[in-house]
Amino acid sequence: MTPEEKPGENTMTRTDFLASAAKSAVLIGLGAGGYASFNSLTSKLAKRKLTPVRGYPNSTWYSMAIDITTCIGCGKCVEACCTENDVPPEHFRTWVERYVVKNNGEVLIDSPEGGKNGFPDDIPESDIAKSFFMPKMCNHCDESPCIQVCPVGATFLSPEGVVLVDYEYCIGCCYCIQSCPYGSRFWNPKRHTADKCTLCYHRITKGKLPACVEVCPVKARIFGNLADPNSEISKFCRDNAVMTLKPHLKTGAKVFYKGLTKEAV
Amino acid sequence: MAPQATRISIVFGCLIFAFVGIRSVTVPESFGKQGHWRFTSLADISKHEAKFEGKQACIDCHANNTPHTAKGVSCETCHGPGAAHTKEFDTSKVVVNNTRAFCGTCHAMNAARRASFPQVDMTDHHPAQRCTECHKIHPEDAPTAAAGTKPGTVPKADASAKPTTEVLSKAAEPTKPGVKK
Repeated sequence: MTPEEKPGENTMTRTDFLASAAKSAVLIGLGAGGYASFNSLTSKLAKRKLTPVRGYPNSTWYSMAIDITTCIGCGKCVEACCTENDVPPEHFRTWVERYVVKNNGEVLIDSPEGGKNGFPDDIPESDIAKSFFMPKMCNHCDESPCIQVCPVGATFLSPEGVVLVDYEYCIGCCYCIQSCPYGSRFWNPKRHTADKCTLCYHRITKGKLPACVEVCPVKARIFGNLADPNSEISKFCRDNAVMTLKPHLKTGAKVFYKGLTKEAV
Repeated sequence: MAPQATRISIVFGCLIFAFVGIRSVTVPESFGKQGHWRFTSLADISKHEAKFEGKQACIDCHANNTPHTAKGVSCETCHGPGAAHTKEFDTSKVVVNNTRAFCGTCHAMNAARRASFPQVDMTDHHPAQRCTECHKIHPEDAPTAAAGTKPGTVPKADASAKPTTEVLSKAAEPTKPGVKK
């Protein structure tokens, strides 16, 4: 402060004043802009209505849910499937795996004869941290890799959501068998075509349950129409935490598992 | 037109004609109706005959009061496919297997089986006896429909019912293939 200036007197030059005014204007502008955008976002969120996130292409969209926590590994489903569908020996449309997680972290998986004749109780219980049975089958994917690779259109998604093989049209190139990430397809040496679970298409179209669901003694398999909110499978998937296998592959698998753990995903 | 252009046009024309001709003959009529597949294959797949008939068909003729059916177990879970029996019930009989091994398929002790499911140690629990000697699976071994009539034509509670001894007499021998002895 120079001696000529009296206290309280405005010493600000015109340049300083204009600079400060410009800074203030920018800050006020930014603040107002930020507030406006925050306001519009929150009001949008407030106005947002519940919208359906997924729909089904048809009013009938069959699938299955499997309860791992209930399955007792009796293998009745495997046996029934093989009988019902004349599955050649040593091949399976559905099979049961036994997972044994040992105390040392080792995970053992076996499926003797697809689990058809049950499982031996060969590992001492004291060694086992966790053990469970896991029935497996075709996942009847909505975006299935097997359909995408078939060069002749011999495998397809039926209007009911079932992935089927046209046995007369299949040329037996086995691409689909290689492409299935779940190993659900096999070469049928009798038919000389690829073969897989049909979700017992010949039964479900006549109002019957698939053979494996029919014979399951503990209701570990639930079959039904996903598009019907009151069907048993819809209720099961609503009331339980369910998950599909290998969801990261985005195959649109629609066999839902309850009780799926890290070892089995 | 230059002669070489004419010749190549004719060749291409023939190739296109052949392709369209072969395609129209070989591709089935219903192919492409619903997508890149043969629509009539649905009917072909549906033609397969069901071997398991379903619980309702059993209930139409037989008593349905076993401890298992009360828990929702289907008859065909133990007795195997029954569709043939519903058509030819005199000649075609369902499987009756009451060996210990057969009961053990579900009830043998197994570490992987959930604890809430009834299991027994098959080597320790009366190893010389058949399970059915103590555990009565069919408390009333009497069909509700008279023998010799078509299924479903007779009222359910028919008192003149004949016991199904001919079916159960086969029980001693395990008839189910693939069951461990």
